[in-house]
Amino acid sequence: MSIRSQFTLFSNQELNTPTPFIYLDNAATTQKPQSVIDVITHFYQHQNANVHRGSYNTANQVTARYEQARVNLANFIGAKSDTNIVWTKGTTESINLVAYAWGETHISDGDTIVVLGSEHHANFVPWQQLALRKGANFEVVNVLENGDLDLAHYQNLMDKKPKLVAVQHCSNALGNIHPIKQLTELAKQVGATVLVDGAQAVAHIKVDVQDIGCDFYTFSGHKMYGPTGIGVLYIAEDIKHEVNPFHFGGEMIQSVTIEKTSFRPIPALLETGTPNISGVLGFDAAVKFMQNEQTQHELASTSDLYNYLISQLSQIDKVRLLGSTENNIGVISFVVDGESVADIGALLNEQNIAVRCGHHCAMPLMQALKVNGTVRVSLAIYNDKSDVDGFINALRKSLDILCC
Amino acid sequence: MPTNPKIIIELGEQFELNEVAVIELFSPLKNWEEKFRQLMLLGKKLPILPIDHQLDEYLVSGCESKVWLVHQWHNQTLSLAATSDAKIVKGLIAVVLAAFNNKTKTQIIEFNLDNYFAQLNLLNQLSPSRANGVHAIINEIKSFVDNVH
Ligand SMILES: Cc1ncc(COP(=O)(O)O)c(C=O)c1O
Repeated sequence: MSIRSQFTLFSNQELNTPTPFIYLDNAATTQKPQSVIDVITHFYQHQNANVHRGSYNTANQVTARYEQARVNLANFIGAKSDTNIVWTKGTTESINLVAYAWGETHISDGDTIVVLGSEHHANFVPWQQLALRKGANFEVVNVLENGDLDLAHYQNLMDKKPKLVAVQHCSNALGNIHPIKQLTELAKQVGATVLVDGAQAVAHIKVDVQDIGCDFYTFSGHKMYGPTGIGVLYIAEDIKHEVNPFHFGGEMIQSVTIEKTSFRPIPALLETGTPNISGVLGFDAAVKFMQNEQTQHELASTSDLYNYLISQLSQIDKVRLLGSTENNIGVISFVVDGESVADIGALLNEQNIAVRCGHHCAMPLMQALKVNGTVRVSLAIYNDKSDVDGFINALRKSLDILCC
Repeated sequence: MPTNPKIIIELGEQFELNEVAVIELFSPLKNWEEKFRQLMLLGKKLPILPIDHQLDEYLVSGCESKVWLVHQWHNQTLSLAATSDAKIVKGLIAVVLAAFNNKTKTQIIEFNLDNYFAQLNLLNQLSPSRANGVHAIINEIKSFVDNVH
């Protein structure tokens, strides 16, 4: 079975009317393979029970699958143990969780926090706001003209001995892959705690959190063929003792008396309340999908499609590509001189093409690149040459209409 | 900075298109492409709003793209001038101005907008945010009418 045929959404007649639906907004969210959808449906149809508290078979079976998913996820990103894996709603929640569960007690007046200028707002605003709450310095690494980070500036900022360095693994607006291991090493040398936003990385590149050496690593299930509403916060062994509970309730508890409560260790400490069980099981199916041979094979060939996309786009008059296309996860942002991205998006939409037009939740990056927004095309493993050709034709037609 | 009333009156006079002409232009058009091409042509008919009138205080809130809208009452009629950074929106502005520019308060109040857009068969062509933008422009114009004595 071809990869694409596992994504039944693409065979929906209605979506493909009057022209084929071309989905090139994969950095926003990916489509879901049938295996992920089946696991979720199966859970509700055949196995629904709460986890960790059953005295009966079904609940115990669900708990076992749920905890096995944690083990599988730990293996997927090279974590030491499943106890380093905390389930969250997604990247945004993970980062905010760290900002409170760790940041509240470890960032104080005069400390320095460093982020990149190309961060998604989810890895920018929580730290900016923490810095404002605590009177800390909020430092932003310059963006070079080609969209890469200014490594020299990053190194200069390390002289300030930051308490926290929070960096994206890959840019969501441009797709460039940052030298994350090097960035982590430089930050670790000056004693910083390092959080990596891997939201855009996991669907495209092999991630090994221990090799990177970061303290926190986070991503969302929905950007790697899994369901929405589920994500991961990896917490390295050495930093666990610095993390405090944030939300309080059931599940996280060792014992409670009127006077006091004692807590269970991470991950339970941060997972109070009934979790997103179907989400975890669906996420697990997505991890399996990522790991299977066919997926890995397709993944290896997406760079060919990407290069084809870039070469086709470069031939269109007035199209200005942004960011470096070397070392890229398959994302390209562009503007067309004299045209607004909203117009281009509207005309592409008329032709059933799904791309993202706007600032991509990275306004500081847009400011650095001196644009109001971009058109962003982002590839996934099910995209093929016909998607790129369809998009290029539609773009040409859009520009023809706009320039008439 | 206040607008220059004379300039706005001139701009209003330069834009001669009215709603009858717009309906005539759109009614033979069948597909999305023809309609958008026509919107592009209409957008070009908007008199140029001088850059010193493109101020934040004249931005219409509720539009996805930037829309600057200025107005002036003159001999009991409303002079309008507007522009946008997006071409489709400029075309839509032209469609709206055709209905309201150089009209009296009574003409504006009595104008049947639903009927107009139904005849153009245009709003269902627009994304919700762009349709909202059109409504925002219309509401702004109606507020000019409400605030005149
Ligand atoms: C780099 C990056 N960080 C964070 C996020 C936020 O992810 P989520 O919306 O799944 O919480 C995104 C999503 O667009 C992203 O691309």
